[in-house]
Amino acid sequence: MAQYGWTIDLTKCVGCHACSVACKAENNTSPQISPLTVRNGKAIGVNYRQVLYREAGNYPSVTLQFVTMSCNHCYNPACMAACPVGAITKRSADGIVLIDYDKCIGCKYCVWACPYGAPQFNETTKKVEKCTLCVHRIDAGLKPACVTTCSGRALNFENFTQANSGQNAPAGFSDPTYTSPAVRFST
Amino acid sequence: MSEKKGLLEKEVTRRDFIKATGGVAAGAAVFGSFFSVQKVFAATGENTPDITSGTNVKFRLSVCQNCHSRCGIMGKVVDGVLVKIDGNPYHPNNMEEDERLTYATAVTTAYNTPGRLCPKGQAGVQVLYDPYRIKHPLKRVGARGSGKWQVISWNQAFTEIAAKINTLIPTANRLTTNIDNSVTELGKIASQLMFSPGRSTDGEIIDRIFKNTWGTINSRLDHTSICETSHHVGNKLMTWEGTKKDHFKPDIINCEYLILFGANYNEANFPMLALSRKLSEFKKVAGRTLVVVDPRMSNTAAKANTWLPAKPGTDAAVALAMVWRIMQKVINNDVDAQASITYLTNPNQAAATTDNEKTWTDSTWLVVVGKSATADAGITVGKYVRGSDLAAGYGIGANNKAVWNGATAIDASTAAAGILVPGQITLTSANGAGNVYCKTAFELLKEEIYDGKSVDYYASICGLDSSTLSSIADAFLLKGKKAVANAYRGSVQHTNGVPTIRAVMLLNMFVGNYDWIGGNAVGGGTWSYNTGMSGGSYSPAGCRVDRANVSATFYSTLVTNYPTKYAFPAQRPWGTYWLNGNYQEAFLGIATQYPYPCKVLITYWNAWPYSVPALKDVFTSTVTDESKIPLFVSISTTMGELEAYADYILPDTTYMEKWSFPGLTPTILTKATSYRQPLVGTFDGKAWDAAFDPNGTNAYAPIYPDTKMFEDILFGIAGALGFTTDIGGTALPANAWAHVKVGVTNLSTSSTKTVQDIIDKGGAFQDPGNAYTGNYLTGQYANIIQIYSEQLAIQVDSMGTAAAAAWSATTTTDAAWTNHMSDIKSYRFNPLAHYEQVRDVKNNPVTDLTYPFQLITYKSVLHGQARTIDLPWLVGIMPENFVVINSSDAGALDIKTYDLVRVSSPSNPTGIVGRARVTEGIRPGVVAISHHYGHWEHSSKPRYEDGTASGYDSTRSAGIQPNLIMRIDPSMGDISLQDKIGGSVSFYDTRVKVEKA
Repeated sequence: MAQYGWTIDLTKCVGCHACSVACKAENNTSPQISPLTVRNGKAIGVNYRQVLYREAGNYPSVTLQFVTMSCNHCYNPACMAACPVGAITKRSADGIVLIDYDKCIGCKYCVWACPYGAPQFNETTKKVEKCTLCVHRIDAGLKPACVTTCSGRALNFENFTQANSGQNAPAGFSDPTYTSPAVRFST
Repeated sequence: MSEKKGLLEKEVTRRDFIKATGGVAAGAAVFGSFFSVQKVFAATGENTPDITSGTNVKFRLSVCQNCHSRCGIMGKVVDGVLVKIDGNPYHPNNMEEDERLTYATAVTTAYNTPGRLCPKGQAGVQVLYDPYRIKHPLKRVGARGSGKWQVISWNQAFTEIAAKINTLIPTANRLTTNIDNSVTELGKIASQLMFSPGRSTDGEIIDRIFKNTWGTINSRLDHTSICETSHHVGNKLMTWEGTKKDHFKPDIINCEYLILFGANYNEANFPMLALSRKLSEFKKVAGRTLVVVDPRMSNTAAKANTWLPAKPGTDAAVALAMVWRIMQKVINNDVDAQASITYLTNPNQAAATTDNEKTWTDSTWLVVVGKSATADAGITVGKYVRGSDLAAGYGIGANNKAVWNGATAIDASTAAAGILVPGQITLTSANGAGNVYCKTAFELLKEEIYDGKSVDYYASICGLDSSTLSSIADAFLLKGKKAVANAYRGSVQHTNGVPTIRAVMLLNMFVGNYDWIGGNAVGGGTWSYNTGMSGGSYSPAGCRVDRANVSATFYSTLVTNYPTKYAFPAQRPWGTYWLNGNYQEAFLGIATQYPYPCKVLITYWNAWPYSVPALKDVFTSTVTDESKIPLFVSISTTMGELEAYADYILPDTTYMEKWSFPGLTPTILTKATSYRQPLVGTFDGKAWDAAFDPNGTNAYAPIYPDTKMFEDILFGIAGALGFTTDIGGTALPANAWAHVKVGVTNLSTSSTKTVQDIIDKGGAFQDPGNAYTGNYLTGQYANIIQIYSEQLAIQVDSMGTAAAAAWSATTTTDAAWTNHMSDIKSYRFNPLAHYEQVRDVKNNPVTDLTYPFQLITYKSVLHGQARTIDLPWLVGIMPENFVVINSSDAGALDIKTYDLVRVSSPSNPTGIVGRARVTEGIRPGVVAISHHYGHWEHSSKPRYEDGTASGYDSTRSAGIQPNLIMRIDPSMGDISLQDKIGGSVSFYDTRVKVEKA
């Protein structure tokens, strides 16, 4: 079985969020237009790809790391195992994990099961959405929108090798043996 | 996995997992609010990605303007709707040289290989389709700022505006009637029409209409003084004897040791997209070092090998600590300093060339520091000594400078070398009867920054460890031509801006890295396009309302001629080297009617009350006084803090619906001129997807049909005033395209690219692989770098005392050898790099020590200037900004992240209230608040058009704007602190209190 996966160079991720916005622009995730709804300091909406800022240490020996995260299209997707209605599938051709919105009942079991925060509950549709690895672009012979836009040339995708799952993962990254995520890191 | 095999192999089609929404706009005849309706459908979350190809998909290449980086963009347009913006894969901002498309690559390839683009650029879609854009000309109803508007026709707008202009400034007399018959030096009444483009890339049409047709000297009151102008001015003063270059950047890709001062490559410095990409590549090569000087752990400092959280405003001390260390090695003839010594002793191009250098310095040039009473009257203390100052026997050309060869003074333009520290030199004056006392520029620098000082001295000023500074200086010197120091806004938007940038740039001079591969770069340059686009040039007489760029003697002459009206210190400062204007003084000039009143104010892309520190109250009181601004017209896409007070708002099109020819920054080492052009809209009534015909009339219909291109708005005003030609008689173009077509044609000629290629590819771009020539950069400065600024040494300080102004650099004479540098520093401006503390424009220190914290500001990577709060994709990631405070300070104040805190200052004791973010990533004693948030307009509340309330988004007023608490200059009382030399406003010199709200 072929499997696409992400390669992320943590040295080259500059924390600019270009990938996050490219994803919103490409996949038309909510919100798309004013007015925003902000609750407890957070805008209501779904974001398939997000950039995390991770500060560590004490002044002046401080480190600040940026980690871009999305669905890792795991070899063993916890979301798929958790879905009670079989709405989540994994394509044999390339390993892309997809949610069938006609089947999704919005129970959020996948949200709780995923160690990476990838599935996102949409308050409007009452269903769960997540990164499709820009499957529509893959099928058209194009790269995912987040990859083509990356400012620091940190984010790429490749034909993944399972043995590399979670390689060089940053501190705090969930144990890759749980789901065998199709992502590897370098520094 | 075997138990899941069946499930894994079950295929779902795209149709199954993404519910169709019916797609985006189906027809070609789509206008107005229909766009936003379609976007609302997408926002409901059913998530149909836009199609990637098809007959109803068109790609158009252009240039971004969501910040000033001028990156290329490629818009994907489906059925006339802009659905996505990617980077232009031909553009060097967007693509590294190993991936960028060659110019010969077919555009169809480009469509499938989108270039890189930052989040702001991608969110341009939301600029275009912002539901609260101004869609019709508006005329205010009731008092200024009432929020009530009448929708009027363009014809009514142009007619009424022209009539009011004629009432205030009769067109027929505008070039002949004096503003003030008693002070004719101020100029003509045409200058009482003032045009202030906060941000524009439309200089040619602005010059054409406002300067060359109307004839105002106030044609470009632009924003650079709230950006980084002291950086530009400092660099120009260091290249004044050469070609006056205002901007250098490292060759990041080949640089090996990089020190950044207040330059945030990964968030804010421009072009962030190229800077961050190149810095990422830099970081991947072993043995390279990045040092970042910034009180805040920025996204750039996050990548540093060494983070130096200096005290704000002390970057000059950081740089001078390093310069001190290197200078010590130069003076001691240290083995590590040999290359520096060779470089610094070259006084001219021929000498430089002998040593394989492209640039040289004034280090060995002699400066007049005194003269005997018997010397010639014209010899000026503080200037480089010229051949004309000296006896003929020296054989030095009249306008040439001099160096000391150990025995005598010789011509600097032909000398093979000069001596750096010869001590005091006594030369014979031109008349043969007197003495001229000289020192080298290097020796004057040594006296200023080295003698009696130490690394420890500077380390204590900037609050950093002296051994760290010494080791960084040593490592920098060892990397030689591949070590670069770079500074930008954070270092210079202080009251000490110009001396600070000059201190940082001394580091580059001491290693002689200019024009070398891996060194300091002037950039690949651009192809010219603008010949003829401004019509016939007219030079208005008089002075600007911001008093920028006046001659060095302009104000002194006013004082001499009109002693009852003008005196030292001046009512407001005058700036000879405010080379990019003074945005804050422009408004205060209007507010105080100094040096003369405003009659008509026309603004464009201007956010004075929001963007300028401490200006909001003065702005509001001034614009609500119609005697101060009798007519106020704003050209704008949005209802910003300024537009809300206009008499008329004329809605222009967005940058995705206009033309221009943006250039590049020195970060880009190959040549290019990009071409901004409409991504959407129609021409001459043709279909949305019709091929653009450069020979057509190209009357433009934008997506909101009652908006107009900027050029067409200016032509409309000019036409209503009766102009068909400019002052010189050159006919005005018939429409925007007739103006722009000249530029496209010029660019085609200069670049040897076809017009069609320029249109198809969004500009003319030199191919990758042309950045370097041998060991050098292809684009070269190849001229002099100066330690010393005689411009500053002879500039009279308009805010100084009468006694200071009366001091004469030509009549000061001495019986014996005397060094008058202390007089120059007291009575004029310090001509050398140095550290100085925060001060007001009358040179009084500003300490405010009862306020325990130093406030700094910064720019988020998610935002540009004053308008990006309109863009939900960006604001959604960070809906508000924070008061960023160190954990130790927060602990002492019992402040936790997300607590509400009040930040107040001597100039705003009420303060502003925002949320705290507690971090280890900021120097204790410093608090940081970003720009971009805390708007009070920008459709955060409804406006009323013909009595009907508009939609609005209250989240656009989230967060806080630190400008509201910025320090007012105590010696002026009405304006922020500023750098008197360069004109930069201060964003980082305010002391504040922080308390739980």
